[in-house]
Amino acid sequence: MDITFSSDFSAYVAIADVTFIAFIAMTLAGGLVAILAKQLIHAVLGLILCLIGVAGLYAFLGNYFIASMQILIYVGAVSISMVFAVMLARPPAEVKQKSMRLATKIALGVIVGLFTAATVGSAVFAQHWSEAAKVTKGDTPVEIGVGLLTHNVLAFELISLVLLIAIIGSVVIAKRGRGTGTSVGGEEI
Amino acid sequence: MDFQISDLSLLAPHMVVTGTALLVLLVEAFRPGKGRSDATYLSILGLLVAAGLTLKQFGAPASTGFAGMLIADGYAAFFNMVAYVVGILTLLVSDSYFRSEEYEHGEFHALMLMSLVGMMLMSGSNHLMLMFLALETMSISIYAMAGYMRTKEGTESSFKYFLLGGASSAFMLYGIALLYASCGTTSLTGMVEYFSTLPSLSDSPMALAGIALVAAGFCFKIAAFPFHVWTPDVYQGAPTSVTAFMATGVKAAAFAAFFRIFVVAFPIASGAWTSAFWVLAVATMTMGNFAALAQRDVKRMLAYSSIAHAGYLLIGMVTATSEAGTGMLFYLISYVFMNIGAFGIVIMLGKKGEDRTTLEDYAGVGFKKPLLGAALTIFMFSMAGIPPTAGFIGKFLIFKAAVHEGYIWLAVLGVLNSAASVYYYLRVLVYMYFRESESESGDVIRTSPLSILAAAISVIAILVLGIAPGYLVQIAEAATAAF
Repeated sequence: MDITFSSDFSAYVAIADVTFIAFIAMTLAGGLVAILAKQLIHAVLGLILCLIGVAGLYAFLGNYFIASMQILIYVGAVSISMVFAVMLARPPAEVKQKSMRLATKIALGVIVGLFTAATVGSAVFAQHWSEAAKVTKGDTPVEIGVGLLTHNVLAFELISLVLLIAIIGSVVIAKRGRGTGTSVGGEEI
Repeated sequence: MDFQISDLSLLAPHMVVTGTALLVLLVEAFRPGKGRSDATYLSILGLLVAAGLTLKQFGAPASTGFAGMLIADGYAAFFNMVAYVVGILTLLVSDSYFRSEEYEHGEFHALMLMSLVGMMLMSGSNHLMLMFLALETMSISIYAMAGYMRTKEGTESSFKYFLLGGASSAFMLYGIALLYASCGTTSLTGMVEYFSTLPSLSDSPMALAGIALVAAGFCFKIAAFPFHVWTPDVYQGAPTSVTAFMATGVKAAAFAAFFRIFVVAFPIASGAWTSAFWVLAVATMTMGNFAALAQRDVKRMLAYSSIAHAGYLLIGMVTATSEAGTGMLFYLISYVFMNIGAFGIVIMLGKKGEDRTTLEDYAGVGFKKPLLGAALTIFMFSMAGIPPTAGFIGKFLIFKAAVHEGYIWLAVLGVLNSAASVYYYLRVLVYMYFRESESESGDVIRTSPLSILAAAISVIAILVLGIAPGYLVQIAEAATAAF
């Protein structure tokens, strides 16, 4: 199928910009929902939105395989297990927030955030950007697999150790009353 | 160059430690039992085997493997040895703790060993990606270890460390991303090549921002001002043996990677980061020491003192010569002995279900338990930097290197700070020897032969390194000669 481009690219650039900004907005909005939601399930849904936005950014950068993996693994598997966990667990009791110094905290957070954004942003905008070399490989499953098992093999193996630690750590943290034989919270574990 | 089978020889010590961790888990699964020390002995054996393998790396020419990601040189070998010492001493001091608390500790030992693998890889990583993964390997284990006891304080400590540690990792990762965007690589060798093509760093402000964010991430891990706020709460709430492990192992590993990355890869920006670290070093020392003056709790006091020690070590970062590196290596190994030794005594003076860590609890200990009192005295003298202890030699080497590079004011401020720190270290001794104990509960202490062994090893090491430091200084000099 032939696609003919008009000689004026500005329309495409505008579409690309809008798509890019839309994905960024989706990521940020999802993150905000995840942090601010009162209900745990809303936070998980916000996280899903955030992760879809990130997948969109991968797709925007032309890496469709990573984008689909992002959807499949993070949205499809991780978030769904979170939803299950939220549904199976008892809803936590309402925690009363001490709102006394909340305003101060928010103000400090905003100041620090703006400072960091201004510093990093000014550095990024002051950069002399040059066009990167055209990437010709790296986005097919074969290339990713070869990369993981050749020059990145040590990092790949180390990640499996990190995951093992995460599993053991979560079991250690979650298994209440281990070794003392007592029950916690009126439930026999 | 891709992965070759011969690269595995560089990874042999790491694989032994990982294998030991898995073996400990298996043994724990098949022979569960409280109050047993099987896991402890097995872990120590594994670390000794790994130490034997690492010995071969001393004096051998530096070699890289895994497509240049991992580097095996004298520097990495030195820090691997520091990791083994941290591991063995922590295992020994944990013994009495776990016996008295009647906790099963197989998983604890496994987590600790895997954390050590992370520390070992941090000192040997020649690539920011590997360094970051190693940092996470180390940190995630420690988040779990801090909450291992499931006490209220322990859980709070673990959660605080996890949240702030996650935020600092994000900063560091963002910095690495900016460096990747400007250099096109995250391998130290590649970044050196890229920076050598630039006349000055003002051509790449984004790389400078990246360097700053990476520095912020490291400053969090070493608990430097102003990234230190988590330290007192986390150190106080975590089980004491985990606190000893965090204060020494994390600090040593973070400084190992910090020094290697900044001295090897970022000398182009040294003008910027030496002046930044100058300020941080002075602020960290002063803040740590003055906050420690006000503490009534020994564990919290040691937390602030560890901040101050990070400040002294930052002087070495400012100086950034191989001479300063020698001083930092010596300082870190002596810090490991004196700090784990001191925390070991704190553990032994507690009793089941209760850590007695206020200064009042130490009243009269010097006469009731003369040997423990004497050991704690030596640890406190060493932390204060009083000769003939290893702590004095460490400070001397770092200050000497700073003066040689012309940082006279920095050295003067460091010396003034260590003079101020004498007050709160010696206050513990005043309570131990010159105050009468008000309660009788001081008689019940938790000791075990292994914990006493840890204290004995630490005392001997501190005195030997303090009186005859020459041999270790030579090893440290050889390890940092390449920088």
